[in-house]
Amino acid sequence: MHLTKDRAMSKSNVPDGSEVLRAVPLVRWVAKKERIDLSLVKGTGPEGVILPKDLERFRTTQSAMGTVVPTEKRSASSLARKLATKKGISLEKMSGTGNRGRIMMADVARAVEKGAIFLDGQGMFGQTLPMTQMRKAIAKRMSLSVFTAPHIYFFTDVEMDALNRRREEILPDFERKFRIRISINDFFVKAVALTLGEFPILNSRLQGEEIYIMPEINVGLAVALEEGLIVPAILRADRLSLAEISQIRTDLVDRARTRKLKWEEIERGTFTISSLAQFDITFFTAILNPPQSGILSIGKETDHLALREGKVVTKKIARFGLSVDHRVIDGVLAAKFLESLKHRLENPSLGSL
Amino acid sequence: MDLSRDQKLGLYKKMIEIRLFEEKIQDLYARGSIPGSVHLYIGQEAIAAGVCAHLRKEDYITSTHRGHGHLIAKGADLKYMMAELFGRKTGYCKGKGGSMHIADFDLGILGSNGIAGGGIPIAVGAGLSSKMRGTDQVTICFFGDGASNNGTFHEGLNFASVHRLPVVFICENNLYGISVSQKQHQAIKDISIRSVAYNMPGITIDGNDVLAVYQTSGEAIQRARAGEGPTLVEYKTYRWRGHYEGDPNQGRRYRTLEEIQMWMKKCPIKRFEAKLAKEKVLNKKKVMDIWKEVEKKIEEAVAFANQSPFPDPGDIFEDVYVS
Amino acid sequence: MRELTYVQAINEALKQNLERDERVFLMGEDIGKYGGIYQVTAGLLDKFGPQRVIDTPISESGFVGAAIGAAMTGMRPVVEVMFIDFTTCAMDMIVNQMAKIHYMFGGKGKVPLVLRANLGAGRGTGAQHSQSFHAFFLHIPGLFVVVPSTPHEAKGLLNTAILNENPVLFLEHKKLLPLTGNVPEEYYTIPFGKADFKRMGGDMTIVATHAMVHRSLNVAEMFAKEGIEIEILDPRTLKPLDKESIIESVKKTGRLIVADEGPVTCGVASEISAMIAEEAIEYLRAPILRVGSPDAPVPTSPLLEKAYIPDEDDLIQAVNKMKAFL
Repeated sequence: MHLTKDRAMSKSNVPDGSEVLRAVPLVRWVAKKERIDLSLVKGTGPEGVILPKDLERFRTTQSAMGTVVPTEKRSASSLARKLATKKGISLEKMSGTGNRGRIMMADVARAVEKGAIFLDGQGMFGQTLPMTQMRKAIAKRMSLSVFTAPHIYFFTDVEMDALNRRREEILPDFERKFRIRISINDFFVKAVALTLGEFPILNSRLQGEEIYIMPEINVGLAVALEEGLIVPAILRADRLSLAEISQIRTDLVDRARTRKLKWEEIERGTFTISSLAQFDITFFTAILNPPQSGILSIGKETDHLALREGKVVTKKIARFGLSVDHRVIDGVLAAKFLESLKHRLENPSLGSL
Repeated sequence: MDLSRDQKLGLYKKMIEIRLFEEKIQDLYARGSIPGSVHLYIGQEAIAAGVCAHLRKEDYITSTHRGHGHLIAKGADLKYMMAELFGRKTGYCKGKGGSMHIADFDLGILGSNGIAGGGIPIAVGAGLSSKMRGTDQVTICFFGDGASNNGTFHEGLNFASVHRLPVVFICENNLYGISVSQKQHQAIKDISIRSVAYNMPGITIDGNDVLAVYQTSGEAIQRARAGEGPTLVEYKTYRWRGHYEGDPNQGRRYRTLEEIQMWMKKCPIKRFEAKLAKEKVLNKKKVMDIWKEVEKKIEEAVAFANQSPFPDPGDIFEDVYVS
Repeated sequence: MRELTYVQAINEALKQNLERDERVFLMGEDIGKYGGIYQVTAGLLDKFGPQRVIDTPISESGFVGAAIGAAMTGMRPVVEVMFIDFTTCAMDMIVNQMAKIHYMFGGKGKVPLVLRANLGAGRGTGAQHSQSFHAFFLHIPGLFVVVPSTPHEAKGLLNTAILNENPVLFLEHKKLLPLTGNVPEEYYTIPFGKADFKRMGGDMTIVATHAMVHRSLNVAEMFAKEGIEIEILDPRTLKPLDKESIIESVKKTGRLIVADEGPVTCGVASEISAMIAEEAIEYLRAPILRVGSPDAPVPTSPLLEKAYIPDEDDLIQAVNKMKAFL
């Protein structure tokens, strides 16, 4: 009788009908700090309020799904973070030997050696996980893509040495002049954009029984978030300088990670590049990003032995894959495209990269 | 009680001090130098002067919202009073009390009270304390006709009488509360008759006759000091100005011009001045000298106040509690 | 170790203070010959005489005011208002006089008095003799408010109150009067502004006053069997309030129930809730719950009064509500 009586409002009355998120203060605090999207968390408290244990369960689930676990929580050096992300390891339960328990690269390396588990597997088995909105959307699109567009796949090995050297050369200049850190992906974007210029059919979409060549070349770069892949596109990438591509790429990827992209920035893409080069993946087949007609997949760079003029040399090889919509593009065209791209990448000085 | 020449001059000087101080406040307030509100004692000087002339430093008084006169008569320093009215840090209350809440415990001034009748139980407590400590300190409790209707009047006088405390209850009946006249707020004419209800002596006197005030209050104070208990003394008087500075037309919303003028003719200072002139205690020059002396003192007080700093906003929490 | 009742502990404190300091005296209705409405001052008139134990007329404003005047002029009165409900008859003296004198007069003059009163329902005394509106006094700067829950605390805190230079409201709960506890015979003090952890626990915190402390302890025992550990924090003085201890407990458990017998609206629990929401919201794992009396006058008929009083049943309801947030 004397408790603060029935709550004044059980349901929110937000006019557009969307439910207001309900979470206890501690949960909000943690979610804010760790950049967790609470709309993805199911609450088991009274009236569906999100409790700390629900948040915990969510984080466990996320790391189990192999999506990149937000690692901002633990104090760690940037090298440690890079390595952990590359290896797909969660920093959460790792012990750090740095200042005040800070995780250093050596700690991550050691964890890798010891075979650190990135799955926080306790309690996962036997659980039923709900699909998030994004997951559902991805499922729908990928199904549509695979079941309507006949995919054909092509692979080629690209020698990366020249490109790497070129990058090394211009890196300090770019940093000094433009304050940007050129990534190998920037070269890929430029190369792909220029090559698309030569092969417009790969920059098209099927519309009924017509093939519409897109007016602009907007190359998208796939970014992995915890909940799925998102592909912001660089507008008119063929007309941009490497520096410009780099700047735009940096901004788009950042905003992808902070969920601040505009829909239009995703929608405008005409061709997609998807890279798993940070992982130990030699090559993979990518599913077209509808309504696009082509997608480039990039595998990890590895050392190979080769003979050159009778001598044994090492080369850095990355295996590129191209998937195209066979309704629009034939094998020969695809092969030519890939060949041209490879040539460009292997001869950066010639290909205006 | 026969007064010496010096004593008479003392009374006169005290009344002038109160009158000129209040007139100065009237002027400064109109000019905006004084924040808040003030309630002036002009016209009632004889009571404060006459009563407090008997008091020792260690005797207590409790005063009212119209208390400048009481404080000056008890010996308060005009500089610190002025500074307090100006809201300065150097004032009696560090700028925290203002006109209605001035106190000086070294002089036994237990504070002016903004609550009508609020000081009555406190005065009774001071009397209780003196009795318990076995001293012959006396407490004077000033209050008005308005407060005489408040519950505290009844409770305070009852308590003082049953315990025979050394308190003299001085009622300054100026015929009005704020705007409600005595005729409208009580069925009796002479408040002193209420003393019967408390089995204590009660007397009504012309409060504008300083010698009469001196005489009667002296008797009551003697009684108290001798341990014979409390007395209720009523002084009939009048305030020339409105209840507060700003009261339209000096209270003419509820008082007639004729009435005000009639009382101004009975001015306690003029009356005493005339009497002393007749007795050759005062002459024109002496009056001039006294006025000049008092004016100088007041000017010094104003200068002191003007030069004093305001309190710091950070002082707001100081003295909420004794640490 | 000696056991005394809450009443005896207060009586002893008064006695010892009357002995050690001649400035101390008692004043109130029926405290002398009768010994006080609940016998708290029994025997003191005989021991110390009518000069120091004064039976007053029924005039709260008058005698509380007299206590103020006496305190301002060198004495240390302990004035009793028979029931907290009667403080309303002396509100001007409490709110406009004693609380403000030290401040208004620029730090001069002080009012070192103790105003004792009892509060609480449960003895069928009805709407005008059973209230617990001590929250009023928290709202007035310049007053201290003390709420002891055990005999040991009653004596120690009363000693501190008498030593303190500020006006202190010392509030005794009717239902605690017969409670026994260990009370040292010698003179001792308990500091103001220091809460006491009556029970430690990690799952939720109950901040409780007076009789609610004991009711909470009973409830905590019940829930301990279920494996739920409830921490119970007794502020002992509401002004000054030991904020730090409350925040510390909330940081640990994240779940707060505040239990005070006053009516819930604008009560002690409301102030503590607001303070925590302001200063420790990020630690909360659940909404803050208040347990107190309903917003109604105190009824007399026994079943009604029982329903009115916030007791174990109401605390259990609160804990159950809180369980959903574990």
